[in-house]
Amino acid sequence: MATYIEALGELIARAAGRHPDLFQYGENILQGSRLCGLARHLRGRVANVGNCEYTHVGVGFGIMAAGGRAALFLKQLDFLLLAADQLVNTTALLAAAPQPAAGSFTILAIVCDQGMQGPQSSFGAFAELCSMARVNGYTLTNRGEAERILEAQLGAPGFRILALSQRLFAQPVLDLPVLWAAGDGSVLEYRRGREATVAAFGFTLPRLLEAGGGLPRQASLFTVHPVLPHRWERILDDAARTGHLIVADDGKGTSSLGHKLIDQVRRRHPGCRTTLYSREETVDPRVNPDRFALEEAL
Amino acid sequence: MPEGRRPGGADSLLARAVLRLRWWQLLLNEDLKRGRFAVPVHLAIGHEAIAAALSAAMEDEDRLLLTHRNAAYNLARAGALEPVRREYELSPEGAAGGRLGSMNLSQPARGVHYTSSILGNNLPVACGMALADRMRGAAAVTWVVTGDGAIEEGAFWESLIFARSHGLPVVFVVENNDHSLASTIAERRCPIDLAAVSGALGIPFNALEHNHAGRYKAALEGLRRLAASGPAMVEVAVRTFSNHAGPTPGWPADPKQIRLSDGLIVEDGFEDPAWVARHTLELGEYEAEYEAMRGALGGLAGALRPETIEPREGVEWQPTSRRSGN
Repeated sequence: MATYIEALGELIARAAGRHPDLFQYGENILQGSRLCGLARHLRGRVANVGNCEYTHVGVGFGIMAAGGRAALFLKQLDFLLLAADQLVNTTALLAAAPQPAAGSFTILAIVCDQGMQGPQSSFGAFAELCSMARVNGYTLTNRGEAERILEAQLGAPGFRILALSQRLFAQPVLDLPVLWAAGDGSVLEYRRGREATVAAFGFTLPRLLEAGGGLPRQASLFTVHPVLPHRWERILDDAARTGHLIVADDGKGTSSLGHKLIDQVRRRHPGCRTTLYSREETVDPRVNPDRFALEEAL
Repeated sequence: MPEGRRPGGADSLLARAVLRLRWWQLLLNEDLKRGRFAVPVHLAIGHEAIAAALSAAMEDEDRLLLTHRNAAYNLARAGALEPVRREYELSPEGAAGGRLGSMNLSQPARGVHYTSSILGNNLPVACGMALADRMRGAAAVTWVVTGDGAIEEGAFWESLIFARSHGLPVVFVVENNDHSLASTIAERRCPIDLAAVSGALGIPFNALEHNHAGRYKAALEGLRRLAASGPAMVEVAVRTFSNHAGPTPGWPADPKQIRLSDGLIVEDGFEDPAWVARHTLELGEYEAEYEAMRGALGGLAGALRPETIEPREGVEWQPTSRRSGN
């Protein structure tokens, strides 16, 4: 069985191959392991670039504004912090332009969530990063989800960030049949149950399934991505049917998307039970920031 | 008389363009004094020569990316005052439909494709646009304006590396007005020798001073040809006569005074593009004198007194007075 990184590497290359004009670039994208294999199958316009992350993000926006297509590969999500100005200010400026940019820009970033790497290099606040810049983001947790999202997003007009989990790289890729997917890939449904509605944000879906026993056996299962505006009707309707919404959110912010979904279901369906699984709150520097409280809670 | 300086010749037209830009900016300054605009405006009184020259050096498909101090360039590209003035009012009739204001004003239909108020932000975007143009086989050159403050940002260094590594058709135009907000270069950092920086990266470089728009245009056209095979850089000495932002004077006791009633020239000497433009028009073949004086002064701009220029026989010319207390 293919590993997560093998499967996603092939899916990314296939989706990229549909756009011969796509400029694919990144640091070490053509050298060494080619980003742990992520970039191994890329073909066409592929360029290795220097260590200039701020500029790489600006270049992507420039290509997009000029009507071209760009895909930037990043070894670590925290590299994007160097480009925070581009993410926030350039997206805001392009959004305000009288004519929307006709081109496409996608960042594919690896989230280092595999364990404690020291005080630095463990930035994983993906949803918060997207929220800061009000840009759409997608976490790729399984094959079907990756397939749908890559098909809908890579090379499509506009800007988005796609995130991969380094923790999953060597694991067998998760294969879940997709029952339903929003056109833009912002919400996907994998199964329909009667005991509860599970909405998994970020990279929590594999963690939920690994934890297994704690979940109701007959639960509906969704993955949800930080995409604006939120289109959560299908989840809300399902929660009204099952009477129990379980939200799993690995966001690090004090006001997560998971809380927002719970607020919505409480307003619309006051009788619905709600449960939130989220990160363990800690400020202890000795604690692995990716030690997720979900397993213990379940 | 050389063809270029004949009435209607290239230098004559550029000189008129410089004076027109000055006139429009003086009108905007009066608007600012009256609090007419909804957004902060960074006038570029003193930047007209490079703006007129660059606008004239651009080919049809070229792109121009600007900074917060973009008024002279946007006016030059718009070819009219009202669209810009209305944009500052955030009017739907403005150059960008009232959506972008002053610091971010761009006009893609007129070649201004992106304008950022963040120091250094436009440099990588310019690289991306140039890359996109090259990928689609266009012969366009991307011009990106930056300043002596923005070259302190890492984005400048990164963008030079990226543009040079990928042979991008970009001309980096560094306006050096010796100021980043209120700080002079000497007050905030070590000197940066851009000729040496360019040389280290193998990037063609030129330095412009004394605000002769015709000469500037010729130099920019030369850099444009070089940029076809990779980036080029030009450093332009400018003096910003207007305040950092808002009107000049900005307050009752402001030592800087710019009044429409004083005419187009703010200060006599080569630092004022309007002064140079006026002499380009009025003195015709003053080029030789210009060169002689420049050589005698060792290239020290601004030290020249108008009295040292003798008008040619038969040409009426009254020296104008100094009046800016920069």
